[in-house]
Amino acid sequence: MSHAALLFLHALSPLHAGTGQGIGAIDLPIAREKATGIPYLPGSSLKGVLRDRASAWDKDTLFAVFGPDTESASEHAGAVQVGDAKLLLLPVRSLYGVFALVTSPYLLERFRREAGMAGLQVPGVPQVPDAEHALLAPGSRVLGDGGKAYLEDLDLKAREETGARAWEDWLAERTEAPVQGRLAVVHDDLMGFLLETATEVVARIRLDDETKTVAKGALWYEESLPAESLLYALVRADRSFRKGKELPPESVWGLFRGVLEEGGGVLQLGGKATVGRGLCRIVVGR
Amino acid sequence: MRTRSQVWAQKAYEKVREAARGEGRGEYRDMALKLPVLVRQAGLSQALAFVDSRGKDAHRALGNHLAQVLGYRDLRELAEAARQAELLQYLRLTREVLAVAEWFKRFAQALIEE
Repeated sequence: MSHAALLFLHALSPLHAGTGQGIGAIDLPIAREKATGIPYLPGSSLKGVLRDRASAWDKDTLFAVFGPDTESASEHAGAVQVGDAKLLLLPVRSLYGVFALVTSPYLLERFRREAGMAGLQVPGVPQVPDAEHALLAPGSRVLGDGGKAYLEDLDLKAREETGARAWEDWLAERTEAPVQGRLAVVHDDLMGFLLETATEVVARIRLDDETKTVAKGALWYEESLPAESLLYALVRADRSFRKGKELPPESVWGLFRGVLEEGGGVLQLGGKATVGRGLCRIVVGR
Repeated sequence: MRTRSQVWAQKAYEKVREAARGEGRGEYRDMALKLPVLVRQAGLSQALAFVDSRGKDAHRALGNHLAQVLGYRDLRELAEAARQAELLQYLRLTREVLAVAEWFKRFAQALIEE
C-alpha cells in the first residue's frame, strides 16, 4: 500500500513556471495544460527542488527516495511520485476586499478528485448559474454595492451561498492562504477567460552599461501566476526499490515530509529566482 | 476547410505586406508589437481606445487592418462592438482580437525592417 498526500502550494511572490520562448503576445509564458489552459507547475520542477534540498543525505537514502542520478536512472525508480501542482485559486483584483481568490466548479471538481485519492473529505461543489454570477460566502468582503462583485473590469451579480462558505472554511483550516472572506466561485467559462487574462504580465529590460538606457532588443514580457495563488499537488510515497535499502512507504513519506518542512516549509519554485519570483509556502493537506 | 488561424494569418499577412511598403511603416510596426500585450494588460476596450487615441495615421491603420481581418469595417466599428458586447461575447472578442493581433505582431517583425 502506498501512502498518498496532498500538498498545498501558496505563492508568496509571483510564480513563473516557464515553458521557454513563446511566440504569442508574451515572450516568456507560463506552463499551461494543453486542453484546459489551466496553469500548472510541473511535478519535475517541484521534485527537483526537494531533491536538491535532500542532497546532504547519504547516497543510498537519497537514491531510494528520489531515484538515482540521471546516468543510472535505469537501475530503479525513486520511491516518491510528485504530481504536477495545479491551480486551485487565482487571485484577481477586486474593488472590494482588494482581491478575490477565484475558482470555478470545474477547478473544484478536479481538486475533489485528487483530494479523494489522498483520503481527504471535501465539501460539495457548488454550481454557478451562468457567467454573470459569482458565488460568495455570506458576509464576504468581496461583496460590493448593488449586490455585485467587481473583479477586474467584470461586474458580476453576487450570490451569497453557504456552499462557498464551506470551501472557505475548509481551505482556511488547511492552508495559510488568505481565503477567508475572499473566495469567489465563478462560471467555468468566465474562469477560462480569467486564467488567460488575469495572470501577471510584466515588461523586463536590460540596460546598456554605457548609456543606461534599454539595450537594443532587450525588452521582453514575462508572465507569472500572481502572488497569493494557491496550487495543489498529489504526492505518493511507495516502498523503496533500491536493493539493500528497503524502506516501507511510511518511512519514505517520513523522509520526504522532513524535507518539505525544513526551513518552515518555504521553497523557491519555478524560474526567475534571482529577481524574487517563486517563493512558495508548502503545507501538507490534512 | 481551413483553420481559423490560417484564415486570419493569410489576411493579416496581406495587410502587413501592404503596410510594409507604405509611409509610417516604423510606427505601424511599433504598434503591432505593442498591441497584443496591451490587450492582455489593459483589457480589450481600453486597448482599442488607446490605439484610436494615438492619433498617428499608421497606428490607426494597424487598428483598421486588425478590425478588417475580423470582418469589421474599421477600428471604430470594432471598438463599438467591444463596448456593446454582452459578457460572453466580450470574452470571445477579446480572444479573437488577441489571436489576430499576435499574427500582426509576428508578420510585422518579419516583414517590416526596424
